[in-house]
Amino acid sequence: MINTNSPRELLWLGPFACIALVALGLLRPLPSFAPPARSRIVMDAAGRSVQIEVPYRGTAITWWGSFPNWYLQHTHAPETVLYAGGSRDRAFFSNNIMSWVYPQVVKNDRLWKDNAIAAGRGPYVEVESLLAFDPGAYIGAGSSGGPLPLLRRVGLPVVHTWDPHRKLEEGMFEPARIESALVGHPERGEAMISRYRQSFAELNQELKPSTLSNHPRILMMGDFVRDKIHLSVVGPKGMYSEVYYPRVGVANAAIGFMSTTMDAERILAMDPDIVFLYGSNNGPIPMQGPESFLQDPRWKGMKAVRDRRVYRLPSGDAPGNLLCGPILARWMAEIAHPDQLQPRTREALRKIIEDDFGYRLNDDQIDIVLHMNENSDQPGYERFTRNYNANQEGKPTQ
Amino acid sequence: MTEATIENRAVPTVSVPRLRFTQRYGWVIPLLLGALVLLAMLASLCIGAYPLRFGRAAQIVMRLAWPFPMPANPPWNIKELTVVQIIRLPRVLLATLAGIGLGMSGTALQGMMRNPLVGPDIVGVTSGAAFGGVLAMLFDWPPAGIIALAFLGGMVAMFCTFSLAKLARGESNSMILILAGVFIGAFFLAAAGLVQYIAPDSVTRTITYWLLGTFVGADQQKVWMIAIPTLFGGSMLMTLRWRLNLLSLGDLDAKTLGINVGMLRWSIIALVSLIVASQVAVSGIIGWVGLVVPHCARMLVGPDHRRLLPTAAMLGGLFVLGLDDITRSVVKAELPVGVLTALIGTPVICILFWKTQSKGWEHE
Repeated sequence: MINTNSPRELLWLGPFACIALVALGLLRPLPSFAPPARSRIVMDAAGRSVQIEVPYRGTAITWWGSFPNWYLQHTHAPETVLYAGGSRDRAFFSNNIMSWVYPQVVKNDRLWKDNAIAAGRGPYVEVESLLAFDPGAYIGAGSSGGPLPLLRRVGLPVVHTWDPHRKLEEGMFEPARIESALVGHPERGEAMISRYRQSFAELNQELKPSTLSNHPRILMMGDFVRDKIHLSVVGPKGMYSEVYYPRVGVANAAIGFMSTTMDAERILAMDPDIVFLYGSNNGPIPMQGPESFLQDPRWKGMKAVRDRRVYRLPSGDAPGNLLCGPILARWMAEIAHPDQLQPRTREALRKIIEDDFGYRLNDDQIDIVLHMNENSDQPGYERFTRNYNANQEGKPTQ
Repeated sequence: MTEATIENRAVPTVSVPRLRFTQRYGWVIPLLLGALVLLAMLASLCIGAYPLRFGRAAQIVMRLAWPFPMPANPPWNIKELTVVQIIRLPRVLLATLAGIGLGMSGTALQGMMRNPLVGPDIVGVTSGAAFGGVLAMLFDWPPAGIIALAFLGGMVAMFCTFSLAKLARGESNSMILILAGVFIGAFFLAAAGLVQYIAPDSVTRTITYWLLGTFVGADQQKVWMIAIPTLFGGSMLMTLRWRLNLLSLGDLDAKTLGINVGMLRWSIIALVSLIVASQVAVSGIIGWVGLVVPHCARMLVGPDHRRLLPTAAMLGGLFVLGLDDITRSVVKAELPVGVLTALIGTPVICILFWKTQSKGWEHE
């Protein structure tokens, strides 16, 4: 028998002690990055002043979805993007106008890496991949989770550009102000905000929503909920309901329904006049289009379906999009109140991109944005066709 | 009987059975595995998106563990230190400690119940701990609250399992214990499912990913949450490994040899619950490790718990750390490690089951 008091029998203590010792090493103070020699101060959405190194080294975007699109709109600086997201973000971005304006961003493989953002699982970002980008700033949304608190703790320049708790338009303006300030051109952000306000003022002048007697009831919904039973709708709160709908002269059919996921029965009970479907078949999750929606037996009794007034929303990730938001509003208003507005959505879209970025959208690209292939059979959509105004000029005025 | 004693015998003609290799050199295997675990930990620190050499990782870890101030002008840059100290080391420690804890827990339970098909998953403690953790997440409790409730859940589940077995007059019958564990485990899993169902969407997502078993988001706090119970509980189990050998003989024999069987059994249950609950609390359910690793360890060093327990601990650490390295490097999408342990553990246990089907616990 082996002696119970033999030192051999205590050898297990060795690895245990080593592991405990290494774990104790974690109690040491965190390393801290030295502040830059030359810097400027940028205030982020959380009210923190962040030292940004001059000259600016570039941006790592740590939030998914619309962030790369917004960043390019606000900064006009594709050369400052060091990391833009994962492959799903890339697919989403490649649907947007900014991918035509700045094709180098969508083509550059180095800017899109899946190992940095765990695609499809929310804002999980691998911190060490982000460290390797060595950017001038890490931008993301205000949140207690994710990598940004950790990066800030070690002294890296972390900028929250969006505060989810800030309401509506003010929350939209902040990314424009902060991101344009990051790249050293705050005037670009302010110009964009001014143009946004001006566009809505012009729409208001033309439509005069307060004088309208008819406010069609809109249901904006997506059919991307996986179980095909509970459907996502735009609820009574948020940008669409509180900012866009009043300016466009429409009412939200989902008023009175608190949840934003509905079953088919509740949607039938709403019985909207018009249905707007959001999402895109080119996105990460294919959506139901207007035609299949019209054919769906569940919706046959709905007024919007009987009138065939079901439309796919233009692409452009509005309503958080300062550039395309007013265009989207105009598009909705032209569908809801065709008698009140001249058909100018196409030209307004072309003009705003040309004025801001010096890029002229061709007719094919505008057709893609307006989903002409899916919407062209719906009533009233002919006003969005490419030669509509030219054809109308030849006709006698009614 | 040692060889020296044998050589001193006066009658050389007596035939003496040779000691098996594992009996003679069995103590070396846990030692080698321990060294391998430490090496694997260092190697794991070099895996990741940020490039880091083995030597540099070793240098940083040595200095972190060295109980004196860090050098003023270290040879490493701050990014390397950040990657090691904040990102990789907590995760490597978490994975290793989880594996060590599960390996020991499974071995202790199998020894105590004299049944090689027992593991923390099967006697309900994992499900109970998972229910506790999920409940704490629903109420948005802090991490310490999650571990406390997970621990409580594990203990309650274990208590229920043994109480049910006792009611069925099968406290010492391992098959009845396993059945009771399956019933109790199913109940707690259903309760965890109910919590998932009623939780808001944002919490459900977190709960689902956590339940699958993952070391994503490892930090210093989580390391302490698992290190203290695992190292303390593990050390206590190590001191009980002699008695575990006696318990493996059966309750009657153990009692005859002066062991307070009831007290010993409950002590082991409490320690296993502590270790498993802390593991579940920080990294969710990592199944099969507590079932498969003791078998592999037994093949290496035999059924003697003096060697088996440390071997299972080190083997468990190696197994889980290796799988986590795979999820971090080969599988880019951060597959939950619990999924990998199940995918690998199930065929392994099936092969072991097939190979040893004719041999019972008593035959080992």
